[in-house]
Amino acid sequence: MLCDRPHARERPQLQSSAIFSQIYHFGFESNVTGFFLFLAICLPAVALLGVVFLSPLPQPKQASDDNEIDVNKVFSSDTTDGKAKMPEPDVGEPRQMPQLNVNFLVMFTHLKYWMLIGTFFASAGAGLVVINNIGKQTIALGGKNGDQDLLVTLLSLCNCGGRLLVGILSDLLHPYVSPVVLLGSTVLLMGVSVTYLAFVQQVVWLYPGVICVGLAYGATFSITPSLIYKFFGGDHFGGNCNVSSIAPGTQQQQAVCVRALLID
Amino acid sequence: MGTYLIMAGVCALGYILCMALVLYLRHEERVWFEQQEFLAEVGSSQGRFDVYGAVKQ
Repeated sequence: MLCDRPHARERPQLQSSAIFSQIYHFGFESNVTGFFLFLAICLPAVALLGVVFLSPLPQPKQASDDNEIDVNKVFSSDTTDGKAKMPEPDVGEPRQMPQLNVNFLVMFTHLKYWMLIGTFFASAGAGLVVINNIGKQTIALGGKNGDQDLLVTLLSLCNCGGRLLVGILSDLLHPYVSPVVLLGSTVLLMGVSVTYLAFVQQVVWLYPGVICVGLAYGATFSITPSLIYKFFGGDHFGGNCNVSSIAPGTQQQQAVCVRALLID
Repeated sequence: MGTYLIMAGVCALGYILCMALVLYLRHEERVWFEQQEFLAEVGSSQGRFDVYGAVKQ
């Protein structure tokens, strides 16, 4: 059975924007045309190399799922004396709720999905808004051109750090703190950081806010898929997770509309 | 600044939703355990029951 906290085992991802912003700044000296040409040639080349060298992984043997309850076994009518028999509880095995395995259409009917996606919507959307506006804010506060790249790099590295950190925290705090509470903590951190960034008056004070936003943003993206797996099972995980990933983009669009209204 | 403050408000709503989710999960778990205890009680004292936990007549 997969761990109920798959984000704890998630492979650490170094965010590519940290690398590409430095390549853009130092390698191309902010030459947009050359940088786009580099992206257009380099990235498809790497993808094509992957097509050549990648091979399917061997499938691991499926162990019996401890969380699955066999309904036929539980409600067995195989009785000899006319009375149903309750299954003998396994000694030492804790009783757990059976895990759901539903597709995204059924997932939409669950209240806990909308609560989870609302939280994800808030945190990831706020992070995206900061990512989109941090450059303009730097310039507005009188920063130099290189400050933007540095802030974007820092945000990206903290995004990576947040993904790692939440996995470690989840392992350490597993007996005491639920992953849902961790998600709540990341949303809280995001809210405090965004409020702080709204009142910053100097470029140098942007850095602490950007670090916190990066950590919270990465942690949110790490926890949410594992919660979707935990709540709605692994059989339709791809569809469920991809449907949920619409939320941050939607929130970003809402933020653009709000900003347009504010400017008007 | 206005956009950031609105986002902060959205995050506050997200936090409230998350805490509501924690309470909802606890409630769901408690209901499930109560149901299991009921099933065990019924199973030990009466006849068959269906998949919804109701005793078959």
